[in-house]
Amino acid sequence: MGKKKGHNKPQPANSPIAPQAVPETPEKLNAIAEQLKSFSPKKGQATPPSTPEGSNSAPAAALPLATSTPKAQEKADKRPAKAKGKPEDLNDGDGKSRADIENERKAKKLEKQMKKEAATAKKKADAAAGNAEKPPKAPAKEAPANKGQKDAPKTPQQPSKPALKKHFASSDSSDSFNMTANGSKNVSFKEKNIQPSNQYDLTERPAIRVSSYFVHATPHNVHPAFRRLAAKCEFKKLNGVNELLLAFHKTLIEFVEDYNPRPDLPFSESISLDLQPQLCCLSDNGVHPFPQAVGNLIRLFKKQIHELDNTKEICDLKTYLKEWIENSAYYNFDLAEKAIVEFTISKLKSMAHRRILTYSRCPIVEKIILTAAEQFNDLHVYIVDDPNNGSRGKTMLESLSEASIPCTYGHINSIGYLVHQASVVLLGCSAILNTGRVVALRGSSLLALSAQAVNIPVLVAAKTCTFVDKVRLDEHLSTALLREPIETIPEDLVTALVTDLRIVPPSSAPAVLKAKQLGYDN
Amino acid sequence: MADQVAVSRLRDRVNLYFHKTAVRESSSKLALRMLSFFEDLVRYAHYETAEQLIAILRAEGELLYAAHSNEFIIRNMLLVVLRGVRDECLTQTSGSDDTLPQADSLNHFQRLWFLPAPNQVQINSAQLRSGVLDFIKEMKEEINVSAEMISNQAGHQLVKTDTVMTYKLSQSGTLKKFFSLFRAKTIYSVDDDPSAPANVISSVEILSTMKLTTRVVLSAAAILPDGSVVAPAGTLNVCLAAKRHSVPVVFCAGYYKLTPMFIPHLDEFNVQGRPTDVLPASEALKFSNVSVANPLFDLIPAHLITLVLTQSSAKTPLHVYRLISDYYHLEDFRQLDR
Repeated sequence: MGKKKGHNKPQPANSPIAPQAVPETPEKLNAIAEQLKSFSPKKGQATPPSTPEGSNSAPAAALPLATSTPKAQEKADKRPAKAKGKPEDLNDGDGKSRADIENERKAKKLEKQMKKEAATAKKKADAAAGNAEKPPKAPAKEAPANKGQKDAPKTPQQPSKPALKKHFASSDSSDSFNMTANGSKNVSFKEKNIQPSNQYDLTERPAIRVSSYFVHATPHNVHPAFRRLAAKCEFKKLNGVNELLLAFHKTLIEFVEDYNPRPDLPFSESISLDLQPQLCCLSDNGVHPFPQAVGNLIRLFKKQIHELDNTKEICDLKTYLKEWIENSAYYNFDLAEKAIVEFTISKLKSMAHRRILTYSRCPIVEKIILTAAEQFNDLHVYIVDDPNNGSRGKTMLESLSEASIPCTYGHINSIGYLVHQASVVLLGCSAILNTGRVVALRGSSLLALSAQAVNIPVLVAAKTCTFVDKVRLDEHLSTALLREPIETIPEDLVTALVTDLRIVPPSSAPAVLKAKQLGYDN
Repeated sequence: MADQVAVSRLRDRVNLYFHKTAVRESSSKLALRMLSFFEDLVRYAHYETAEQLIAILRAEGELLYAAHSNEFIIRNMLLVVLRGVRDECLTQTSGSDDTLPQADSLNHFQRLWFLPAPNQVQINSAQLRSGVLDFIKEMKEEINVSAEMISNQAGHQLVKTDTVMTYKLSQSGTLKKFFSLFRAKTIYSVDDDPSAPANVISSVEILSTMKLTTRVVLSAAAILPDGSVVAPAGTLNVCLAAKRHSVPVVFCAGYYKLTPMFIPHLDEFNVQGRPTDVLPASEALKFSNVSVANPLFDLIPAHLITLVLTQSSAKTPLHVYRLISDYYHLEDFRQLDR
């Protein structure tokens, strides 16, 4: 697990997932800088898209900070002797903190060496300095106050923009979570083959930047379970939203298990505070949105935390949360899948010829087919696959042929031929939008289109936990954890959604949202 | 029996031609080869009357077509040559220069006069021979320029600023010529190899790229008389997406692809390509009980098509049947059973 390289100090058992206290003396800071210099980012070659930005903005940020106050430099020199984390730090003339100034000095030193190492080391020191501002020793009320004050003087002032950029760039190029390497598929294509839907480039920012609460994910304040999850996703060990959701549940349980709340805050506030950097780590600080169903889970989890009764014991609260997560996993996976399988089979019973056409691999559809094969013996499955994108249909083909179900396999160009032979189309989805549009793997819409042309029904297996209260016209969003290409299937091409509640037409999506209280206003 | 030997030798040679080609050549080359075959038959076979010639041609042609029944072009060329023979016969008997519209589909039941059937007529076989050979030469010439003449019509149907989508550009000679003579601003080619002179997109992107497209230009493998088209597999996805977004679909084909045969259901004749193109042979043992679908053609129904461009005309699918009578004689395809 190369990703854990940055996390080189074990966390003491009774401290929250919070940083080690950063020693204040310049010598120790220099020592850390040396240590960080020798550590090179794992995918150094992949960082170029962000490092030039990072390195450009970092020296740019350094310069205004450096040149503006020689006085502040002197102040900084004196400051290490003082106690740390006091509010008077923030009452500087230009709102800089002592740690920032120390960073400048380091940056200037390192800039003389290789620029790349200088940028990363500075960012590392920056992050460490950033964490020094919320040490466990800081007084309780000042922790949020510090942050608030820190943000407030920063924003209206001149160095604010480069400072923000610095933070932004640093979190982007933080090597532990840098996923640019696997993201862009277009490496081998020439410049001309660029379409808007092909841009899975991860350094792209969305058009609207949601101003979120910037807490960077650093090696220190992120639980290793989340980083493991991110690593698994990057190495494509998790295919599809279903596996991702299950893994996410497990990660959340681990997190709650290991979590020790801050002594100064009530449990619910403290855990929601510390949940933030974990999520930032996974989503690159809000640059990439989560896949829809995962976003649902996070929202509900946060809601649960919010509704916690803080007067209870901490271990009680933790067990409550863990139970909630486990229940959610049980209801949304085991039970929901059983229900969906039952509903679909009852539909298949009424058909004369059971010839199912499906696209790539959806674990729920696989379950449906395997269960149906036990009941019916005239089942025939046609699997359409996309060879450019992992050929996951082949894994489905394997499991089905092991169960000795007669199968036919083809690529997308065989849709026109296979659709004349099938009698029903079964698709999986990763989310259902408010309007009834289905978010599914790219290519599923072609099946739905051909099926409509020959008048066969299209059924989409959708768990109610994947219903989201969002409206989207279009597809090609590169989501935070899953790099698979997705698209939306228009609702008029879908005959029905098989949910764990009942089989509904796509126009009933808002009703399902209401029934399950997944709406935003609830 | 010298001519029997000659004919059998020609037969062998043309069968060898089919066996030698591992990868199917472009349709125009196949059409030219077929015309050469029939040309040689006309030249070397022995016959007295036109009807004998027709019988010989038909026997050889049907034999060849039975051996390779997925190649419509064989039969199409046979019908072209047969029509040439009948026309030649007609001009010689009536002695006039202009060919009467004998097989005008509008009034072939209401002839004002009846011309003698070919078998009753005594004609000079040498003249017949030379006439038919000339006719075949003209037809060959028309095949050679068909791609260019189709491209000449591009300017009427497309504008330079159009965003055009096509399918497998680099595998169609007609389309390659089309786009080299007509430079559209943006060309999307679906499922092509990356070196094509167009933006190559994968077939999963068809529906989302269709939103940006203004024209779809495709190449047909065969044009059926009801206006539907046989095209390479995967074209159906493009046409359905185009219909959904109201994008006009234009099919280009030379006259040799006009097939006077209806295909109600594609399964009866669809050819499958190699299964190893889909599932590699290394996994054959693992998937021993799995069938592989690798169809070569799609049948595009007429309601998805806006225009059919041939080298002489542009027609809507509803009017394609009139082209049939331009190139083929009614007598010949009335008894087609397959």
